[in-house]
Amino acid sequence: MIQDFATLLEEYNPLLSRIASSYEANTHLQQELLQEISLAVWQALSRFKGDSSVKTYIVRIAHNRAVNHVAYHAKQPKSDSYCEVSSPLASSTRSVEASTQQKNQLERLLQAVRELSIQNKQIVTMSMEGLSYQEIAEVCGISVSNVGVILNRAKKTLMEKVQDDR
Amino acid sequence: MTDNNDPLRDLWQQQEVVKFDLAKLKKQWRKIRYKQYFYILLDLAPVLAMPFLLWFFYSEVERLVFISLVVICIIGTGFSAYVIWLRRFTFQAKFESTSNYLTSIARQYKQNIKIAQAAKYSTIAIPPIFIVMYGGFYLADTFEWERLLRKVLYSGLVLAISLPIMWIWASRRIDKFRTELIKLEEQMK
Repeated sequence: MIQDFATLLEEYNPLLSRIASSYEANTHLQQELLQEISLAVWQALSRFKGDSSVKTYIVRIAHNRAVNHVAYHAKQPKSDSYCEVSSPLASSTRSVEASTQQKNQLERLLQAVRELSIQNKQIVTMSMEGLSYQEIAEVCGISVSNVGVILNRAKKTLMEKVQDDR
Repeated sequence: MTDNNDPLRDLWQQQEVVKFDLAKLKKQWRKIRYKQYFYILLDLAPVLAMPFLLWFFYSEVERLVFISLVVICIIGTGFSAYVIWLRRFTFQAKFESTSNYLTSIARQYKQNIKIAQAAKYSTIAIPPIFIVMYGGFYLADTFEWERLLRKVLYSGLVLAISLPIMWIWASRRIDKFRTELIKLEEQMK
């Protein structure tokens, strides 16, 4: 049985937020996309038949909604941002230098993910959200072996970009 | 089959989290529901009103005027049916795999372009229909000359204002959907 909508959204908020950030660089647009995704998930939950896990179902809805959003908005980064964010990095006790390095790496990772094609982006983000090859294949409508090939190639490229300090 | 010691995954999970606004979400949800009801009403209202209007006017107007109304209703129903046919993909399930979903969105954009084109070019078709209709009224001597002239003048005024607005609106929609289609196709590469 599906939990209460608000509780469910609260639980998947971080995952949905990360999906939104893989499509939009600007914080304001991320917030807008997150709202759209959450709304789409809300609408879709009543049709959930239990064919897959709730997580897989939500991820699929989120990506489908994000694809629509990107088609509507030009990807021009804006400098303004006003929305509320919570940062796991802020609470970290690491040195400022290590924290800055990690932030830079994360920035490069996000930038690289945003540059991927829709399918590759979807596969990579789902993998980083802990979905199995089988689940990813089901969401994307491709074979499990294909998921493996695409994921390995994409991760190699991402790793190179993340480690590139120039 | 997932890799639990994936450095990319660890880095990915360190992202800042944007929080959604539940109050805003509830408001959006209600707005969407009202909009859906409104569009259904908008689609159905003319179709449902037509038989009643014809029935009402049957004994009130001249035979030729009534025939003209029937012709306009038939053309209107045909146009509505065409638009509903083009909109059919909107009602299909959106919870399929993303590759199928992308194809269906692209297809929907193409259909939206066609709907906007149909609306745009119907503005060209409307004046000849009115000319033929009033020409028929004139030839059949349906109305007195002054009354006919008044009707032509009022109809002409309404058309002169509404048709250019409809043309511009439809043209903008065509441009909007074309841009969205191009962006989507770029994303799909």
